[in-house]
Parts: sequence; C-alpha cells; structure tokens
Amino acid sequence: MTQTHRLLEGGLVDRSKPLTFTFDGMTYTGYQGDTLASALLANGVRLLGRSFKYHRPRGLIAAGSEEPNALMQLETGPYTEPNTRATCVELYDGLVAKSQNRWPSLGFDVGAANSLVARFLPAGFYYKTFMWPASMWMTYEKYIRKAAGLGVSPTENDPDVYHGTYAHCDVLVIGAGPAGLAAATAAASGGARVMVLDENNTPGGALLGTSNNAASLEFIKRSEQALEQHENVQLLTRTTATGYYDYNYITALEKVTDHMGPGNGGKSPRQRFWKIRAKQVVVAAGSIERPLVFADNDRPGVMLANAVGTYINRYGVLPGNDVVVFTNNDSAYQVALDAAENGGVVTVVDTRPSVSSSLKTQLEQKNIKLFQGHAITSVQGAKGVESVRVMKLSADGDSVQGQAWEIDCSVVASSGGWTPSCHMVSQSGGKLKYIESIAAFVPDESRLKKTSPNISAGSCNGSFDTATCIQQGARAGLDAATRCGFDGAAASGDSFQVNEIPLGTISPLWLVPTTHPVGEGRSKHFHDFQNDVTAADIQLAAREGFVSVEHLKRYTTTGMATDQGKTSNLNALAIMANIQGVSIPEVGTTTFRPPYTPLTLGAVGGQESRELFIQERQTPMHEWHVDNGAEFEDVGDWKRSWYYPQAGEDMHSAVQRETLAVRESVGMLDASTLGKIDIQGKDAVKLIEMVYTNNWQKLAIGSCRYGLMLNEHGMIFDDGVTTRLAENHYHMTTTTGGAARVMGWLEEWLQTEWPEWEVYCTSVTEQWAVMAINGPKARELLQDITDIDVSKDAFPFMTMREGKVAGVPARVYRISFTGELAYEVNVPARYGKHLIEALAAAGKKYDLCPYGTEAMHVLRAEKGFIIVGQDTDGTVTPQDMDMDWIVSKTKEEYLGNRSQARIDTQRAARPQLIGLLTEDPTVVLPEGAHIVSEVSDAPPMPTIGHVTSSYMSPNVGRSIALALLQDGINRKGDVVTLRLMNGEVHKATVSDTVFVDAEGVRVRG
Amino acid sequence: MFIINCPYCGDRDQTEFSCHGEAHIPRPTETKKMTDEEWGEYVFFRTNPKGYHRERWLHDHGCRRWFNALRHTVTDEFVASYKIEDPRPPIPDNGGQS
Amino acid sequence: MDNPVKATPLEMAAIDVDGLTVAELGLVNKINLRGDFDSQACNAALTELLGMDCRLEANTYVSNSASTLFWLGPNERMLYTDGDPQSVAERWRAAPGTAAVDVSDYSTVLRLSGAKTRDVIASGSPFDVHPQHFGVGQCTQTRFGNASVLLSNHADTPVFQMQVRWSFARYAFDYIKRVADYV
Ligand SMILES: [Zn+2]
Repeated sequence: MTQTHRLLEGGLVDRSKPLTFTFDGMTYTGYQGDTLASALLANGVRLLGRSFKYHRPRGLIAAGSEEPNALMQLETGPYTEPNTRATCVELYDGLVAKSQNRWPSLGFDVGAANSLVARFLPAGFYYKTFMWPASMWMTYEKYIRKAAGLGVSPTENDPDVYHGTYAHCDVLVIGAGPAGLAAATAAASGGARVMVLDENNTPGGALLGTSNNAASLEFIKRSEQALEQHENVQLLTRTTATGYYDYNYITALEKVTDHMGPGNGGKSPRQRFWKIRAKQVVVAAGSIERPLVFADNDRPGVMLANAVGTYINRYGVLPGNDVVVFTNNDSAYQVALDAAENGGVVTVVDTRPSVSSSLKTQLEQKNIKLFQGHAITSVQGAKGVESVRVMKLSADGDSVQGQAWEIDCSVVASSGGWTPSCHMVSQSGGKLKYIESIAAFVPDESRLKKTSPNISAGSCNGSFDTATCIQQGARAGLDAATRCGFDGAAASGDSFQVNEIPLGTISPLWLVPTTHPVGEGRSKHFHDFQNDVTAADIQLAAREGFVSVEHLKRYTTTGMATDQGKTSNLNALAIMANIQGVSIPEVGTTTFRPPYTPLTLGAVGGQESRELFIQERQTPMHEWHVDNGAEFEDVGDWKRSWYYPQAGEDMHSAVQRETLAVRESVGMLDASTLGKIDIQGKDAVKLIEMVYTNNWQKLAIGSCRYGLMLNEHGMIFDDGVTTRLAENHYHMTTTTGGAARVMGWLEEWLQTEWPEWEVYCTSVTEQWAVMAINGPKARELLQDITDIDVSKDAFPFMTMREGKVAGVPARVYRISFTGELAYEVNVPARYGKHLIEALAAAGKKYDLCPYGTEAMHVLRAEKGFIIVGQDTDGTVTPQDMDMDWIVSKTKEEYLGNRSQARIDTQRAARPQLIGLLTEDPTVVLPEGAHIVSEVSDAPPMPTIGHVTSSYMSPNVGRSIALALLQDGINRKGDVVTLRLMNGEVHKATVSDTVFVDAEGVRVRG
Repeated sequence: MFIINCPYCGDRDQTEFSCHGEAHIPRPTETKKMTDEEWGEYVFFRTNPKGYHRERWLHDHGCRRWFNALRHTVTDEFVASYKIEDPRPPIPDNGGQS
Repeated sequence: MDNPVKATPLEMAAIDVDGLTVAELGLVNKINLRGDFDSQACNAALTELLGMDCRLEANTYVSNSASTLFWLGPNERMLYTDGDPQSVAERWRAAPGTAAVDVSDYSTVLRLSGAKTRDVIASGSPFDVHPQHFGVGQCTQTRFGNASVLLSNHADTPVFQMQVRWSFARYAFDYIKRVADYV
C-alpha cells in the first residue's frame, strides 16, 4: 500500500522513519510523528467505524482528542484496549488496530439495517422500548451491546505497570499552546514552582497545525528554552488534565510509554496518574471547532475545518483533492488557502451573505470558488463523500431556495465557529457566560469558586488570534505567580506573529436547512456523532417536554460517552434554544464532569495494585508461620495464621486436631494483633471507669480484668482485658479489628470532653509480640523457660507477672480466651521470632501444637465467649448477650449507661444470645442461618433470630452454635426451626452458651 | 479533595483527616435524670444545615489532635479551624456565597 | 537462650538502585514522651534530661549526639535515644504531669537517600516534600500509601528518615521498592 494522500513534503512527520501497522487486518505504512488517524488518512482509509445507533459509516471528524467517531480497538490479547481515539494514538511500528462498532465487518454491516428503519429509533428509544417489563432489559441489552459494539475488554491480566504520584506547585498551567507557554514563562520568571501539562507529545498546541511551521517551531523552542532555565518548572507532555476538584486539586494522566507500543517501555510505567495540588491554575486549554449541522453531515469525509488544516500542516496529509469548505466565519478560509496551496481543488461555501474583499482576493489568487449566502443541503456518497449540493439561503437562514449546485468533492471542511474548552473551569465549580460575538460560552471570572482560584487565557477564554493568546497567557501567568507571592518580570509575552485569519464576524447558523423540513425524509442532521443524536431528536425531546438542559441530555443521550459532548454540546443547546424561542444562555449549560478524556483504571490505581492494593500487616512471627505451613486469614489488614495443615489434612481436619490439642495438651497462638494501649496519668482510672461498663477502682496492681465497651447508644462496640501495671498506669487490650477505633474513642473523649483530665494514651500494639499458650500443660511448658514462679498460688488467674521468658524480658498475663489454663506472653517485638522458636523447641515434649484463628474460634465458642463483630453487630446490649453481670449497678456514670434504660433497650423480645444444638449432631448450621417461626416453601417467613457462630466441636463431640433469638434467654430447652437458603429445614434445641467446663475449673487450674 | 488547616500542623491534604460530625455537643451531666426524649436528642439528633456547619475533625495521619472547623456544606469552603478550647469564630454574614 | 536473636521487621533489608538508597536503621531506642511542653517546668526537665534546648516548633526536630527529639503534637514528642529506654522513661516520668512509654519496637526507621528520594516519597504521600516547603530540621507525620509515617529531613543531599509501624514496615518497604523503578 502506498500513502496516496501523503504530501511530498511538509508537516512534522519524519519521512526517514517509516512505520508499519495494521488496521482491520490490512497492512499500511506511516511515519514517525503520525497519529493512527493521520496515517490512515495518508493511506486513503476513510471508513473507520460505524455509528452507535444507526450503524452509519463514519470517518474522522477531528485531529485531536475531541474526535467522536474514530474509536479503535487497539492491540490484542492482554494489551488490548477498546475505545481509543485514533487521533490520540501515536503511531509506532507494529501497531495493530481494529475498527469497532461493526458486525460482522466494517464494509458489510448487518446492523446498518437500523438506518432503514430509523423512524423506529428516535431519541429516548431505549427508555420507551425497554421500560416494561424491566426484567427484559437484561435480555435486550445483550443484543444491543453486541450490535453497538463498544469494543471488548481484555480477558487477561494487565501486564503493564502504572504509577501514581502527588505533586505540588504554585502555578499549574493546563495546556502548552501559545497562551500556556506564555503563562508558564511569565509565572516562572519570578521563581514560582510551575507545572505545565499538555496532551500532545510536544508543546505548541494549535500552532502545530498552522501553515507557517518554521516560525511556530521557533517560538515553541524559544519558550521551552526559557522554561528550562528554571529548575522549578516541570513541563509534562502526553499529559492530559482529566479532572479539576476542590481546592485546586487536579488529576492528570501522563501516557509515559504508550507511544512505544506494548511491552516496549522497559521498567517505566505505562501511564502515570498525577494528583496535583496547585495554589493557582492558569487554564490555557484551547478551543474546539464546532461542526455545522447540515443534512447527512456524518458522511466519511465531512470533517472539521481545522482538522483538515492540521492534517495538511502537521502531518503532511491532504485528506482529499477536492475540498469544499463550509463555514459561517472567517477562520476556515485559512484552511481553504492551505488546501489550495497543497494542490487541492477548493470551493468555499459561506452561509454569510457577504465576506470581506480581502478574503475574496486571497481566494481568487488561489483559484478558489466562493458561494456567499449559500449552504450545503445534501451530501452524496454512502461510504464517503462524493459530492455535495449547494443552495442559496433565505435571508433569515431558515430555508433554501433557487438553483441547486452539485459540487464533486471528497472532503467537506466545516466550521460553525469555535467553542472555548471550559471543561476544567466548569469542573472547578466556576460558572460560564455567553458571548454573542463569538457565539460561545467562556468562563465568567466573577463567578469562579473561591476555593479553586484560576485564570483562563487564550482561546479557552474566547480570544482566538495568536498574539492575543500570548499576551493574555503572559498576563495570567504573572497574575497567578503574584497571587502566590512571587514577583515576575513584566509580562509582555513573546512578540511572535503567525499567518492566520481570525474568526471575524461569526454568523451563527445552528441548524442548516435543506429542501425539506428537518426530521422528514431520509437525511439526518447530526450534532452528536458519538451518540448518534440528530436535530430531529432534539425537536422530539422538546415536543415531549424534555426542555431542561439536563433532561435533554439524558433523554437524547447527547453529550454523553467518551467525548463528553466536546463537539456537540453548544450545537445541541442552540438548537433547543431556537425551538423554544429563547436565548442560548436561557437554556443553560450542563456541568462538565471528569474525566476530560477517558482514563484507564490501571492508571487510577497506580502502584497501589496487586500486593500493594491493601496494606498487609504482619506480626513479628509471620515468617515462622509461613515456614510452618500456615494458611492465613485476613483480619482487618492483618495476616493471621488461620490453621496449620499437616500433610494430607484439609482445613476441617487440621482445625479439629488443633482444637483437641489445646484441651488435651497445649497449644500456642500468635496473639500479637490484639490492640494494645498504654494508659498513664493520675486520672487514668477515671477514663477506664467511663469507657467500660464494670468497676475498676479496686483493681489491684498486677491484676487483670475483662471489660466491655459501649457506645452512647448502649450497644457493645469492643471488649478486652485491661491490666493495672502501676498506681496510675494501665495496659488495655482491644479486639484486633477494633484497635484503631478504640484508640480514637479514648482520645476523642479525652480531647473534646475531658481535656482537664491528666491521662495519656499511647498505642503499643506493635511494641509487643504476644504468644498465647493454652492447655493443661501450659504451666509446665512455661515454667521450663521462665524465671517467673508460675505456680498456681504465686501466679493466679487474671494477674500479670514480669520476668524473663526464653531469656528475654517479658510481661506474662494469665488470661484465657479458651477456658483452659492459659498465659499470654508479651515480649518486645524484636524478640517475637525468638520467643516462638524457643516455645516450639521447649514444647516438643508437651506435644505443643501451634493453632490458628479458626481453632481459636471453635475453642472460645465452646466456652460461649463472644467475638465482638461476629456475635454482636452494633445493635446488641450487654443484656442481650446475657452479660448483665459485667454491667455495674453502683457506678455513677459510664458511656452508654443512660441508653441501658431506654424504652427500646428495655423492651421484651429483644434478640438474645443463646446456644443451639441441632437435632442432627453432624449438621453444622451456616452462620447467618435464620431461625423462623413458621416454615413455608419460599420466603418470606417470619424470622425470630439468626446463627452468629457455628462449628463442629471435637471436644463436645458434635456441632455447636451461638445464635441471637428473640427472648432467647427465657427459651432454653425449646426446639426452634431453621430454614436455610438451600431449602433445608433443621430443628435445634435452645441451650446455654457454655458447652465445655461450665464451672470454669480448668481455667483456674 | 479539600485542603484542611490543622490548628497545630497547618494546611494538609484531606486524606490525612477524618470528619466526626457536628461539633459543640457537650455530653450531658446527670444523664440518669434525663427523659428518653432528652437523651435521644443528645444521642441521635444532629443538625444537617445547608450552609455553615461546625464540625469535629481529627488529624489522624498527623498530630492525632481533634479540632473544630467551620465549613460551608455547599461550597466546602473552610472558613476557620480552631482548637477545641478556642472560642467559636463567627459565621460570615455573606450567606455563604463564594 | 543466652543470646536471644533480635530482629527488626525488615531484618535490615536494603534497596540500592540508581538514585535511591534505602536502609533500615536497626534497633533504635524510642520513647514516646508526653507532658505540657509549653510549661517552663516541663521544658526545664527535658533540657536537663537530654542536655539540649528542647523547645520545638510544630513539625520540627532537634538532636545532639545522643538524642533526637521530634515534635508529634502539642503534648507529644518522640525521642530517639542512645540511652537505656527504661531508665530514660523513668527519669522523664519523675517530672509532674508527664508520661513516657518505651516504643522502641513499635516502629522501625528507614533512611532514604539519593536523587530520587523526594519523588519516591511523593508517590505515596500527599505531603509536599519540596525543599522550599520541607527543609532540614523539619519533620511531619503524614500518610505514605496507607501507612501512617513520621517523615524527617536530615540533609539537603537529600537524606530523609521514615518511621513506620512494625506491622506496616514490609508494606512501606515494598511500596518504596516498587516506585523506585517508576520515578
Ligand atoms: Zn495536626
């Protein structure tokens, strides 16, 4: 294939570096510096996709990120990415692209039949057709999606890596066109920290598409060099500002290695997600040309005028030899001249009745024919423009009349004026104002959001000639730096001049008439190409009352999807305004939403993916657990040993073995994850008295006590053992998951309610590595490795002793979560590994068994010990847990006290904790299973409770469960019915919650 | 994503903080003498203004200090942040437009 | 058992790549000190205890040959000391209205140096570590990824320290290691 449309010279492509790529299986050649779009155009490929709703053939419209049509499925396998815009894909060797939205092929498309029945697919058709029955939507949606072909997601893991980073600057400049470069240079001159972002691979913005490349490139180089002199300036190319949030927080996507092709980026991340905090922002985002809305304006070959200019000047591609420029303003005349200069046969159709003599002269010099006060009334050519018909416009622009001229052409370059890119300012919370002279909205500097200060400059501010853009940019850059406290050099800006024809007097013609009324006949007037929305759809929406701009958007889908209405927004508003007979500002604008251009989820996640997705917390003994074959359970962010399967064991048998070993010999559990808080100060006991329900005044030094914490609703929210270390010094433990919450709770009360109390809380969770030794042989084992007298009388239950264990300093707490004789050995974390190894060695002769959290759960359930968050759910009181024994009747006050006497906490038939013994002892009820008062074939059934904990207990020799049951404490001995999700029905007897050693002999042994 | 001024550390990113609702709700004394309605008012009821709101914030990834802030719930403008013991700064009289 | 093995969470793991060197500082004695540091008595006691002027602006640290004292909050300081943590803590507690906790093993300290240091930290922390904003002698508690850390700036070259809780140390280290390739 030869590059039939490539000019012999010109443009910024490197003709010495040819690149090979494929599109829909065909191989083509382009050059370094091309985009996929320019390379396809160079090869004469015009048909690039089919439209979303009607499956009409579509080609390129734009040359930048506003492109609505040319969505590509890029690459294959794990690297494949749908919905990439061909205009934003830099060409690299070996690139593989496929068209989307066509089935089974681009040339022959079954879905194209849709256009023959177009009258059946008006706006709102999704809503109307599939409103009822709602359940059928799922069925329809599959087929619609297949036919619509929004591309396919990769099915393999993403092999790329991504990077996210924060950044800070004084002045952030969005856009490195003439205004942006001038702003950055001015802001940097006084020493401000400046960041400049541009979505292109090189700075320059619109200048890159203009005809006097050499002068433009010199200006760009000059500006770059000026910026390089300042070390506090960062210029990021291939970087798009995607979102603008409160307090000048701007996100941006940098495509770091996309342009190298998949797998060629080395160690670099594929993309980088910037999270930028700027004191001041200069928005120099440029503007987007609007298409004219005329009959069948979606034929491949109908393009934006500036896109034609950009393809010629930046890429050295003439999109077609016969060009019709269709415009309502002066700016497109430059494109006509550029096309003629490069060999095109050009005709200009201007909707305005007269144009300036200087323009006419310039056209005459190039032999360009001009139709004044005329309009294109139809476009011929199904898969690409072959000719257009042109007729004279009536004075009011509402109709056409007279002779129709047929002009053969392959390209229509249309310009309906320019729309400043106000996306960023709108996202920041700023409001827009309508400017009649340019027929567009610009930021209203008097209605910006105070928390997100910014200044717009250049064509995004409605100034379209380059000299003004540079002046405005320089002024904005200086002002922004000044606001940050920097003095800048006088901001005159570069005096660079460019050959250009400014916008001139725009004569808005929002809807170009044809020989029959819009909406009748076969031709369509598209304003939103991506969503396939026509002027007739807006008329329909208006007829049906969807006149509010937000309703219009949702009813017709105009302005949605990946292009977010970049080319369509203003045309839609204007057409609606005309229908309603109101002004455009009266219709209003929708609020622009991030992202400005689509983002990959990979980039948003950045490095915080895979093993860094969640912070995995490890205990000092983690490696020992790994070495000893532990399976791990996630508890909060912690990795806790779940069970230690031996060869041939499944989870069930391992847990049964571990559970038995603890009651028969001795087991050890890593309990380091429990929250630990050091509490000191003369008012320490006052705090402890307030946060626990029981009495603490008389706790002896060296003694431990269990406590329950309530919130002010009277509901249990944590529990643990607290030990008095010294006169005014306590060591509190919390649940693993509740550690941070409890610490926050204590500090909240101390700092906000009782600041005069002298109490200091310090988290010491990780200071201590903790091994819990449980079982009848625990004392013998411990005595072998400690200098503490662990005899029954010297070291009673619920006390703490300090000494050495395994030769290292330790605090040993005689507390138990299994009901067995037990000790919790705390050593400084540095000795954690040493401790577990010493225990394992010393424990051999006692058959010491390491056990995990699952066996711990079984063991504690055998004793009826609750786990906060499993047996409680934030709606249960101590009385509901049958723990009234821990609620002081004598204390004056504690948190949650008053709520105990609320009508609701006092009412009868509250769910209460009970034991459940199934009729069939082999049945282990699923946790969450419902206890029902009546069984029927299908839900709903009246529920009177549910299972909270359920295990097979080897020590009891049958299954056991804990459950919350209405009025349960009074129902012990009753038989209740449980109905499972799978339809099984089980009977169970309500029992006490303690299944083993009800007298508590073993723990005190 | 806000910038929040910690009265101790200065301006910091919002992700260093957590918000804990309405400020200046002292815990009642003599709770046992309160009716269910009075107690319920303290435990369950909070204002939810469209406009200026005094809130408690915690600089939890920072100095671990609780403080109060005056924020506008529509514009998210932080008018002031102040230490627990500090007097309440006045509510601006511009109706919160910014 | 005469020579119990002491471990650090990272067992002295290190990173040495182009532009970034990371080392775990090993066992640093750390004490969390509490008190009314605005009071004359408190400051006098601290000055005597550490042998240096211990009045600190918020988010700064001060050090001498034996000690480094970091500001953590209005009534909270972190002390790194060469002395025996138990006895230093006890001496501090002797002053009225104070508290001290040995937190030597609660966290570990990473030393980051090299040209990429600031970019590595910026990858995970919303705190601005630009030299104009965070100079030598400053410290701050902030967020690195999802870990709370105490950052301090020790030299312009640059040299930073990052104190991170024991259980988050592996996460923070892996985080640093991964982004070191990206910046
Ligand atoms: Zn703070």
